[in-house]
Amino acid sequence: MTLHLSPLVIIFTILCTAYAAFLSHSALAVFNDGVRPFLLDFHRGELSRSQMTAIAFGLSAGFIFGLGVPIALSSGVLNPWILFLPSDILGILAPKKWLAPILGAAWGAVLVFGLNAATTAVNGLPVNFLTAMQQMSTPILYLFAFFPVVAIAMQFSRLRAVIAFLVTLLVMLIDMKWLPAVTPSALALAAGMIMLVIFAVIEEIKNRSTAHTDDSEPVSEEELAAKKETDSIFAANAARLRKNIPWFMGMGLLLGVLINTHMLGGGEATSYILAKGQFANAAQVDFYRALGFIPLIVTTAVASGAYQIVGATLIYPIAYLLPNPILAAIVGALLFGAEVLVLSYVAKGLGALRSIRDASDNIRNAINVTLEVAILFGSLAAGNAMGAGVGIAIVGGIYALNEVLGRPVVRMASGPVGVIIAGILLNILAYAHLFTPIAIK
Amino acid sequence: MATIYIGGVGKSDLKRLLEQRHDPNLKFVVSNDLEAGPILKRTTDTYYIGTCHTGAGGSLGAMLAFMGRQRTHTFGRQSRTTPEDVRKLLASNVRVFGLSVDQINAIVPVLVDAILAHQP
Repeated sequence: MTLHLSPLVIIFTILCTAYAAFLSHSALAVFNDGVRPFLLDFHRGELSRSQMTAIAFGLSAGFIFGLGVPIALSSGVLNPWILFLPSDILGILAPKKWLAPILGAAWGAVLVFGLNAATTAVNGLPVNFLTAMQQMSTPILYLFAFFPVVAIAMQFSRLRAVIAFLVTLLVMLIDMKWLPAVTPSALALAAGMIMLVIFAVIEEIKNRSTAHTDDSEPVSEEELAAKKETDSIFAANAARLRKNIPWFMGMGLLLGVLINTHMLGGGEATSYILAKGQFANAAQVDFYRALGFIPLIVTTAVASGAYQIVGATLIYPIAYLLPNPILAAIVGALLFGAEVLVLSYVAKGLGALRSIRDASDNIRNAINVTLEVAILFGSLAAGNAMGAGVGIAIVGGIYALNEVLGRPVVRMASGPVGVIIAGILLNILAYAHLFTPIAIK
Repeated sequence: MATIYIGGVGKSDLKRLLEQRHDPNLKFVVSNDLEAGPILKRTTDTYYIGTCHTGAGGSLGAMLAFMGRQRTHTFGRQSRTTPEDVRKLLASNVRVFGLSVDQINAIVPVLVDAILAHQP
C-alpha cells in the first residue's frame, strides 16, 4: 500500500487544526463531546484556563493514544481523534488568542509529516502491516449491517430482535444473488434501519396514548421556576452560537475540502473503508453513525453554548461524495451555518420525543458493540495475513491483556494496537532471521 | 430513601447490573439528563448516574447546566475507585456521576454501595 499526501491534504490538515484550536481557545467549539458540557462554566469565567486545560487533557488523552493514533497508523488515513482532540487541548491551553492557531498548525504539521514518514517506513519493511490491515474492511462492512438489529434488541423485545436479524440476513442474501451491483451490506443495513425507525415510531405512539395521565399531574411553582431558569440558559446558549455562525461556517469550509480528499475518515471504522477506496460505503456508514450522535451533540451544544468542531457529523457523508473540493467547501460552509440555525428547534424537539433520544443512544451503543467485534476480527485476520498463527496469537494476546488490565486502550482500538505491535515484533524477528515473512495479499 | 436515576448510552447494562443486586432498598429509575435534571434540582435524596464513551459527554449532557459543576463528577475512563473517594464526593454534595460505558462493572458497584450507605 502506498500513501501519498497531496499538497492539498497537507495544507488543509494544518489549516483545520489551526482553526479548530482557535475555536476551542474561544470556547466556541470542541471536538470531545465530554469536554463540551464544561465549556459553559469556562466561557462564563467560572472555570480558569488552567482548570479547563486539566479537564480537557484528562478526558482526551486516552482517546488520542488509545483510539486516534492506532487507527491512523493502521489505516494510513487521518481521523478526527488524532486531529481535533489535541487541537481542543492546545487551543484551551494557549494563554493568548494568537498563539492558539499557531500551536494548532504546529500539531497539524507534525501529523501530516509524521504519518507520511511512518507509512513510508512501513512500506520498506519485510512485514508490511499496512497492507495486512486491508483485511479490515470486509468484516466492518458486513457486520455493520447488523448494528440496527443490536439496537432493536437493546430498545425493544427479544422477538423483534430475532425477526430483524432474520430479515437483515435475508435482504443480504437476496442482494448477493440478484443485485450484484449493490454492496450486499448496503441494502441489509438500510432494511435494519427502516425496521428500527418503524419500531421507534410505534413505541412513541404507544407512549403518547398511555402517558396522558402523567401530563395532567399538577406542576408546582418551584418546578416551573426551575424549568424557566434552565430554558433561559439554553436560550442564551443558542443565541451565543447563532451570533458566531460565521466562525462555524469557516470550520465547515475547511472540513469540507479536507474530507473531500478522502484522507480524513469520520467514524472509527471509516478510515479502513476509505483506505480501500469504497467512498459510497463509507458515506453510508458515517450517515447512520451521525444519527447516533446528533441528539448528543445538539443537547451538549445548547447546554454549554459551544458547538462540535465537526458539526453534527453530517459533513462526512456529504463531503465524501461531492465531486470536487470547491463544491465541498461551499456545501460545508452552508451546512454548518444551517446546522447552527436549526439547533434550538432540534433541541426542543428532542426534549419532547424521548424515544428518539433513546434510539440514538442505542444506535451509538450498538455501533460500538458491532464494530468492536468487526475490528477485533479484522485485526486477527491482519495478524493471520502477516504471520499466520503467530500473528493471531500476538494480536489476540494483546487484546485479552488489555481487557483484564482495566482497558488502558479503548476496546475498539486494542485490535489495531495489537496489529501494530505484532508488525513491529515480526519485523524485528525477520531481521533476526527468526521469522520468514509470508506474502501478504 | 435514595433514588438513583440512570441514563446515557449504557443505561440498559446499568439497569441489568442494578436489577441483579435484588436489593429492596435500592430504588432506581431509567431516565435521561433532560428528565432527571429538573427532578434532581428540586429534591435532595436523589442521584444520577450517566454513561457514555468518554464518561462526560452523553453521561453528563445537560446536567452541568441544571445542577452546576460543583454537584457533578466524572470518573472518565478510570477503571477503579474506592469507597473512601466516593464518600468524599458525596460529603461534598456531588449527586451527578458520569463514567465510561466500558467501566460500568468496575465503578458502579462501589458507587451504588456508597450512595446507599450515605445519609445526607
